Amino acid sequence: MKTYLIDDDNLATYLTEQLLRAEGFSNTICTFQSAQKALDKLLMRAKENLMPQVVFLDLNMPEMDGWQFLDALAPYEEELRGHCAIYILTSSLALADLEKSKEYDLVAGLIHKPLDSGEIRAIQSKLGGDADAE
Amino acid sequence: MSEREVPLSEPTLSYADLAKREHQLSVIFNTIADVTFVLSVEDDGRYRFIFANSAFEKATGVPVEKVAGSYVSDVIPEPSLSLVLTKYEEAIRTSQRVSWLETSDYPTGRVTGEVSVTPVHDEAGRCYQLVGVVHDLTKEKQAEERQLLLTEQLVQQNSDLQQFTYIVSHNLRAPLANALGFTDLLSRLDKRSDTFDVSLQHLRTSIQQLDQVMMDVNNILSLRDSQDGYRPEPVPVAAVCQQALLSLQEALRDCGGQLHNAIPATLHVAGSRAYFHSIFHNLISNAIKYRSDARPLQIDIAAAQDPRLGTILTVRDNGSGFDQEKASDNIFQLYRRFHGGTGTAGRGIGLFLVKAHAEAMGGAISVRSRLDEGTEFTLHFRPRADENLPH
Repeated sequence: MKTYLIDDDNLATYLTEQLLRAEGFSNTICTFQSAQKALDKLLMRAKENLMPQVVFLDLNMPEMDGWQFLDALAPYEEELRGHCAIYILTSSLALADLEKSKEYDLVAGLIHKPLDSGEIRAIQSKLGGDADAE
Repeated sequence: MSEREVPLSEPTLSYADLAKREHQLSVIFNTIADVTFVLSVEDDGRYRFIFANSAFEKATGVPVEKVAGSYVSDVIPEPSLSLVLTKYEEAIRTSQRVSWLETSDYPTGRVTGEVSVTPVHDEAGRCYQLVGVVHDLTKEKQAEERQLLLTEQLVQQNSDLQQFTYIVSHNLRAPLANALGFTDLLSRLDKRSDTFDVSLQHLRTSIQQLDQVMMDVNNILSLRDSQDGYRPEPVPVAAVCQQALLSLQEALRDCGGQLHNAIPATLHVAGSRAYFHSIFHNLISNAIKYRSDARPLQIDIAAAQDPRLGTILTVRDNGSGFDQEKASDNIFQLYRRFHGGTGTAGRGIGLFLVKAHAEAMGGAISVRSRLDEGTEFTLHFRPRADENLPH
């Protein structure tokens, strides 16, 4: 499953990437430290019908944060729906963030860091379970 | 009294009776705590004091002998003067008592009162006098303002504390979540793999970050504690700025930057030497960190003094700047970062400390910035800032 990791914390992206690999979730993982760069890439790939199936999105980032990323994607909602599942992956335990995430149709779920194997498997089965093994 | 005869109801009174009555009236007037005065409406439209009681002198500091006979325009300062003149005209025009709240600066200080003027008419119906009364509300007004200020400070402090708790919990949670994740990952990795070694190193880094947040919290809390025992001293800001520059000189030279310190050597600001050092150090190191690659860094530090506004210090650079609309006042928030990318990314504590230090000295800080043009920080210290410092 083609996967994007968007997080300015490079320890967190390394961790998530290794956890996904350990579960055989994906062997094509792109990591982005900047939400803006991830956005540019995603929109470019979407035109070629090569958009990621899963995006793990951090919320607290400088310049463009996770919410701004989602707002920027709103005009492309139709094209993305059913093809690209966005999971918010945050260290925040704030209920307000969970409530807010429900306002975004593109958000498939909110996961508190760290990602664990149970959650990875749940996403796999939800998205069809046809994960490509390493 | 005016030369105009006041019509008397008892025309048989003797001169001695009149004198006695006038004396009694003046005793009564002078024992009234409210400022009381009588104005003559002159033919040229001007107003002249013909009587003022001793409360007038007490409130305004202007001697009663000087007031009687003087024109209103010579006694009442602007901008109050323009206001009272329109009120006098209103009272004359409507033939009714007019009252309003007024604040004026007199030699004895700021006086706030409820003023009323009542027109007095002659037999022909023409207004020839105005009787004014000022009920002094200065004490009430001051108490009210103190109360308001105190409430504002409390609300601000409360929201600061809430914000602080939220931010700290968030910033503790991030490295903690990483540490948890790495312990989970490590248990599943081959001990001889590179990933194991890297993950172990990352686990260590996560815990160090956790420790760093705890140290930040400790520093901030101790800053708040030390404010209780803080006594301001006159700080030679230009010299302190040069000292702060010393440790940054190398970094400044390495990037080919220039710093011009135009603060007069004689300028002293009441505050703490250590706080000023921290302020200059953080602002200069930020300017170096967020310089623009497009031009050599130029930092200008200057001071301006104004007897009314106090001392204003500015630290300006021609660096990469930031989008002020996006950042708003968040720039001074703890752990708030505006520059992404690796290497130069800060931890987001410097400007928080700058603001905390400036405020601890009774000062204020503001910022103006334009993307790709530069940033200017303005520190503002009120005159006699020592009086406003928390004790």
